[in-house]
Amino acid sequence: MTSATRVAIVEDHRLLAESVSLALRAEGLDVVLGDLTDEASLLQSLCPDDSLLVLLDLDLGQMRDGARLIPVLRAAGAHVLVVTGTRDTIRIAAAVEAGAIGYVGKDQPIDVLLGTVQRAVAGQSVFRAGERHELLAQLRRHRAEEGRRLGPFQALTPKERQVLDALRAGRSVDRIATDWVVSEATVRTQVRGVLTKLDVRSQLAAVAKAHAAGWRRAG
Amino acid sequence: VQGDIADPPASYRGVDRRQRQGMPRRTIRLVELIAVVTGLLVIGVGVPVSLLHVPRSSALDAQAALRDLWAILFFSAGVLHLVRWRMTGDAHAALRGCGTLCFGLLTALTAALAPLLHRSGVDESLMPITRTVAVVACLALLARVGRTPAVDTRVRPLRLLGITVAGAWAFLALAVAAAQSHRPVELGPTVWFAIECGLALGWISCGIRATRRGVTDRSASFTWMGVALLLMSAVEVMRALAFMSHPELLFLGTGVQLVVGAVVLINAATDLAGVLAADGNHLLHMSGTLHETVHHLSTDEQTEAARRHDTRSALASLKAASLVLDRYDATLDPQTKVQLRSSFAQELSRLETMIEGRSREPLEDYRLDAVVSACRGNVDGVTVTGDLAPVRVSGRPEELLPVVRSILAILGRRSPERTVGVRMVGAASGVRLICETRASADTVRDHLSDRNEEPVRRLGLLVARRRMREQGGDLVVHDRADGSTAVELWLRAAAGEAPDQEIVEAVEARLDRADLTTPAEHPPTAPRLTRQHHDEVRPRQLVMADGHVRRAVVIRSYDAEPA
Repeated sequence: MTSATRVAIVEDHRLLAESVSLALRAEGLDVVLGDLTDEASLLQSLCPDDSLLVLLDLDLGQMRDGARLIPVLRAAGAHVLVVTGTRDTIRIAAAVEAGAIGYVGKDQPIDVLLGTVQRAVAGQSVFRAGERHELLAQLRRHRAEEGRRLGPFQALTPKERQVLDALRAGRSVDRIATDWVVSEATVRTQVRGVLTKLDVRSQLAAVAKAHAAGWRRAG
Repeated sequence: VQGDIADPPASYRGVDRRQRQGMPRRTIRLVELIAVVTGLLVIGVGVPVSLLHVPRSSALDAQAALRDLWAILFFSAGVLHLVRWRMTGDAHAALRGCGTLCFGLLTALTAALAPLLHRSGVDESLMPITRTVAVVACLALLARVGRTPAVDTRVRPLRLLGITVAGAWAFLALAVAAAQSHRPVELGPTVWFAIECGLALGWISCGIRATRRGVTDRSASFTWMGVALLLMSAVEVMRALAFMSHPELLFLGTGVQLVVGAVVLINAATDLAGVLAADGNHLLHMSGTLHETVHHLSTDEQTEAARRHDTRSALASLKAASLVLDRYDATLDPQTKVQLRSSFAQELSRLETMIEGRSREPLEDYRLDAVVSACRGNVDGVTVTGDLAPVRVSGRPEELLPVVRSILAILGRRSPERTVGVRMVGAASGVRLICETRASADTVRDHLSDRNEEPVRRLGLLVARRRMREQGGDLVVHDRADGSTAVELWLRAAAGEAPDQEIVEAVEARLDRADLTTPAEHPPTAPRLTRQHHDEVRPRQLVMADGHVRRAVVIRSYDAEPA
């Protein structure tokens, strides 16, 4: 990893961003605060290149998930160090997989944060030996488990997902047919499709399976 | 003044099993044992014997085949009844299942064992024994029917006559069976005629009883059962006549038996299908409620996670700011330091609010009529009427608005005219906003956890009440004697707005004190009544201006119980 000369802080907590920026400036680093109005403003304020180290929070309030910025920043050549308050290792692992060079918890002492930033700026690894590998292995295991759990639901067509969602909400077939202005036969065909694909024999079993798997209809 | 609320009636579709009769565990075991033994007997004995029985004359073969079919129909019906009993716990289903199974079993055994024991054909000397058991079974049913109190007085003599005749014949049949076991006696047609007539009387008694109950309870199941029992009595009459003069009626009677078996089987299947459909609907409804609960819990969990994350960030920022102020004090310019200290203090204040929640936020004074006016006119298709006086109250208007909207929507949806009246009266502790409708309180209480497709827009009464209590007020549902319902929102009066004592007394006098409140869910800050204070709760009657007497529950005083 090439060394960085600038540090950008992308953090929705103003006091934390200002405090860290003051500390880093006192340590002699060139620090810039990201504009969190929207993604375009943020990228414009950062001017990302390979000389930039971005301290990125994963929860950016109005801008929601910070992890989706990582590929954009990485594509521009910037290095990303995740500074997060979350303890969800899967989210952190996903950020590392997306290209983050490491992470620091907000619950860590501020000196740990400063030390990690110093190492990252110097181009050194911020992970302990095997930590990155372990994180990514954990992410793979999680995805495999999730795929096994939600696999049958992936086979559902959008309409079948809507039907299953309606059944989960306690609506009967005739009610669904009335609401969607279609015939009951149509809905029953879709229900049969759901039952077949989920390998269950009743609507109730399908609903129970959806609950048990933690399935949620996208959108 | 407080009341207590009973559990709200569960929303129910299909067969009503809320008042179902439970059975003792021992009886359940016995019925299970009978079912299992019956099944094993039919499978283990009946089927092989039926397959291996020796050839007989064609008429006897045909009759035996019909009897086998009849037994299978009854046996299947009995199994279906028992399945229904296992699903519902209904004692009647268990009784019917056992009875039907017994008849099916007896017929099967008669058809199966007779050729095995008497290779030349069906020995009629065996019939009285099996028939005796049938009579005893009829008597058991009659005894069960006789214990039922709701019997028309006009029918009682007939019932007594039926039981007496059936009992006499049962006794006679038992005596004949006992005598035959020592010395086989060839029974004449007259004896057979009498036995069949006795059985017919037994079937008629049961059939009339079942039909009457079917008509009274508007139960198709009982009606069809009565029809089947009456048909059985017709079968027995045909048999009786066959023994006397018309042998061909014996064959016809067996044919009618098949019709009876089919009716019983279809009846049992219909009952079971009804239960399955009701259970399916009920469980589907429950799954919908579960889904909504999960949704709420998930939302709460997300909110809590966000709050925890925010708190963690706030603590990290405070630590970072503290370190910067401490470590880089010499290098920071004064303006930056002032700005950082100011941000530090603000963050501390925000952190305190996050920890303590909204209950620590100060209440504000506002015009109640201005807030409620926003709900006037038409809310979700509900017409809201009433004139509101300018009154100032203390609370959080942004929290009151969704509560009022929800109450109006709940009342309006249940109101025949979809109209809700709104008025305000002064009270001892502040102001009461009264929303009135002609809907009954029972239907309104169904909305304790209001379930609909837009849970965010409407609050259940439970949540609404909690929100009212968080701002120092309360929510009470009044079930009036004329069938109408009023939901009262109690709000604290704004500072300097002293209530008019006359109005207070008038309101207190007019309120129905027997009304029910929403469930006894006390917020953490609410006082809880101790047993000692419950002793101070006194029932009372209030005479209203319109002459109605209302029940009342008055709590004279209570203190907060230490946590």
